[in-house]
Amino acid sequence: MIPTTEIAQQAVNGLVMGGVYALMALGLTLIFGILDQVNFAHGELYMIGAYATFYFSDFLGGSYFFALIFAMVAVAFLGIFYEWLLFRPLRGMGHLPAIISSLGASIFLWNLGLQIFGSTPQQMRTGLSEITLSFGGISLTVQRLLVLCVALALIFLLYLMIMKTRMGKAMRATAQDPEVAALLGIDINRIAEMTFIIGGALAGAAGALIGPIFLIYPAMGLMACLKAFVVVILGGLGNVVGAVAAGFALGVIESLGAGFISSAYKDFFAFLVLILVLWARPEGILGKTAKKAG
Amino acid sequence: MNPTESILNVEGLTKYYGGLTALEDFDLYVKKGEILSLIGPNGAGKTTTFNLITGLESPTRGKVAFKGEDIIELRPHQIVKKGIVRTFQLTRVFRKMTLRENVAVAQHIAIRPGIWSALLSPSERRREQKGVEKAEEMLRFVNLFSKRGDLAANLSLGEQKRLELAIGLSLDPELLLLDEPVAGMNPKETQEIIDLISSIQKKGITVFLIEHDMRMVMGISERIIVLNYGKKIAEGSPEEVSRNPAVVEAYLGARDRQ
Amino acid sequence: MKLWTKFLVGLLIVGGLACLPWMIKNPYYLHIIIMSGIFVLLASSMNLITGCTGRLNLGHAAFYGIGAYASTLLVMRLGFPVWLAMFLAGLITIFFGILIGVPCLKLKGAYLAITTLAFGEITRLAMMNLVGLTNGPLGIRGIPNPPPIIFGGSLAISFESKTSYYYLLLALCLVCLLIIRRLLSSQIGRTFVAIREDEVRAETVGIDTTHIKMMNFALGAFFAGLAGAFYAHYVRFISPDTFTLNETFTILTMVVIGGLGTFYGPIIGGILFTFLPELLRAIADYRMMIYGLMMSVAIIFMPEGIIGVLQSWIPRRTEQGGRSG
Repeated sequence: MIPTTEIAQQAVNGLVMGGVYALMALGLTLIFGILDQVNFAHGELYMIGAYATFYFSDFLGGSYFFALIFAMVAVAFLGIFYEWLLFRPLRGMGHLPAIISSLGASIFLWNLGLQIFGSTPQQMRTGLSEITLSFGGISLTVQRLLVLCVALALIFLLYLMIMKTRMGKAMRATAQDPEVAALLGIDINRIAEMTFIIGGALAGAAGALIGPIFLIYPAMGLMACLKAFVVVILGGLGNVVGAVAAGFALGVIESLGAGFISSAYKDFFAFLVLILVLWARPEGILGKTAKKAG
Repeated sequence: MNPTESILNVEGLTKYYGGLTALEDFDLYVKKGEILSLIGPNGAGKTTTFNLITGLESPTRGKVAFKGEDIIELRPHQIVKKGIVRTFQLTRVFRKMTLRENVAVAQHIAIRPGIWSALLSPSERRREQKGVEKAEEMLRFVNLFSKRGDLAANLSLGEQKRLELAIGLSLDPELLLLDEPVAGMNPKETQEIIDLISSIQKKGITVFLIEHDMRMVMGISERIIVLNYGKKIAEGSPEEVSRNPAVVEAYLGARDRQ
Repeated sequence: MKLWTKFLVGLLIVGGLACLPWMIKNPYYLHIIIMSGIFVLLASSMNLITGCTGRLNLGHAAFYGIGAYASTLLVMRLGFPVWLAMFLAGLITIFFGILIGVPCLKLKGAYLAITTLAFGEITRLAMMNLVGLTNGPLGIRGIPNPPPIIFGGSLAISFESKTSYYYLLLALCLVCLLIIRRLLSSQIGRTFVAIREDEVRAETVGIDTTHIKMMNFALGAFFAGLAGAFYAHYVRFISPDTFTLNETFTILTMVVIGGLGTFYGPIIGGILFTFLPELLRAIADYRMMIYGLMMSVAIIFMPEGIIGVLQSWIPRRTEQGGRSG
């Protein structure tokens, strides 16, 4: 007797988480694909998005939707600061310096968060978590449904933006060949700012969406960042489609694993999948073919 | 081709990248001691050929034999040990090291370091010293001796290319693959490289080079092979090749021979 | 500097260090100095992997912890003599270094950083959860100190007081640093840098990058493992809380601020960042924040660390002014 309903339930839960992972991974993979830099402080954007939403809705009593938008805007701003302070000075210097500078920023930010917000986890209440819908044996809180819908909507908007707008074309050109893009008059600094705005907004949204479902705490960015990296690596650094696909895939794998194997080791699945995949294909599932000397 | 005369034999070398055909059924041989040039429009597959021969990429199909021995499966550092050395189109020198250190690192094979020997054996030190001496000798050969203590990042383009030559030569190659050795150089620098290549040939080293500078190619090569869209379209002496209509057409009104 | 001048200066420094315990009577200060020695070893070992070869290893605390637990368990569960156990702990850490190193061979940059971080966390979680082996979060107490070294007759060095530990650590550091120094200035050191600067180029110059990368990991693991073994028998209590990601970040800060890829950088970094928290006790809560900030600022404004800044003040000598200063 295959417990199809349970599998479906876990799978749906997994898709919800997958949406969040996809949003996180998209920002990271855009930053890598377009600017060839690695942002280790991405998780902190997520964390601040969550706290921003929390303070806006719980303290200031604003509606959750406005809080979400507020968080996205706030974190987008933070993203620009990332670009100005951490990445622009190191542009073109290879991967290691940017990794270290963003790592330092990450350590700074989450410890700052510890000081400001305290280490006690908080619970965001939005009322939407209270309402549950069910179809065919699968139940879903409205909040979770919202997460999935908003995630899909944002992904779709991003797709439109990258494919249809001039800025999107400029970003794709820069990702393909930065030197040629510069020769065509594309200003790399504007592109960089845009990339970080988008990455920030997406990560902020992810944090805002996840906040009501799980507790929020200053170090939440670390694990989220790790998982986002796993997703990005699985999908191939710089591969936007890969990030989305791998994000949902990881969400489902994790959920099924936690539901049927062990929920205590839920976070392990991401690492396990990462190590297995990297063993077989060091460039990620959808990455480019490695050269022999690699 | 008489096997004793050819030092490198390539048969049916093919490389596909997804939908792109970089190289198709490429046959070539390199005669021992000659200077052979590989030319063709941009994107014709020349650098891919070098990458496949030196183990940086794996071919989709084909065989490469060096001195009769199949080398297709070998990793790049093993191919270097066999005697094939290559320089790069965009010079890849170790920018933060000095010139002397750049060449000395290439002595790695000769010195054969290991942790224990590095720590304990005095002969290791002597071998290192020899490595440094050889590095200086190579720098002298390419006229960079006076700059041996400078950082590689501070060199001009011509000097970087000469440093690449020094590094390559210090590995005691039998076959030297030069990828666009005079790209971007002025006539004076180009002549210096041409003279160096002649000296290299006099040492008994076989030279196989890729170039766009037609004057140089016509002047220095004994034989020329022409590639276009991954396929060989001509092969022969400089006179033969320059008169070949397919070659002329490939270059769309080829450059003047001076 | 002429060779005999160097030798003289070295002798003075070692001599000064040897006299230290007579001048510093306060055991707490001596403890700090001993801890700084341990961190010098940790920073130097991380520098081998991350600084010289350019491969960011965010799981380095795992090597530290494996060395500590290995030595402890060898002594307390299997009855090995302490000196042997400490040495074997280094070898066991090498084994794990190779285990982790193999899948990491093909990885670079961010991929490598994440994977090593994952390994580091997995190791810590193993320490926490394999309670039968490691006693879990409670840690292991009462680790024996090394037995007295007897020189015949009534002359013996016992490890009851900190002073003996200090001399042991001094000897350990001197030996390890000499080895590292010798390695860095030899052909092997140059191949490390070659791999960092341009791995493809290194391969085409005849360097077996796989072999060298494994050797590099093994070396980094070995020295970190020794540091861990010493730590275990010095503090005589270990728990998974000591070998966390924060620890790795602290060590990384030491290396970055001291000078990535240099010999003296990690030494300065290790000493500085062990003393700094003591001097800044008042703002202990902000310690990690400050480290993070310093790391970012350093990599942007002084990428070659303190050593780099010092070197830029010295008129550039031709060869010696290179990276291995």
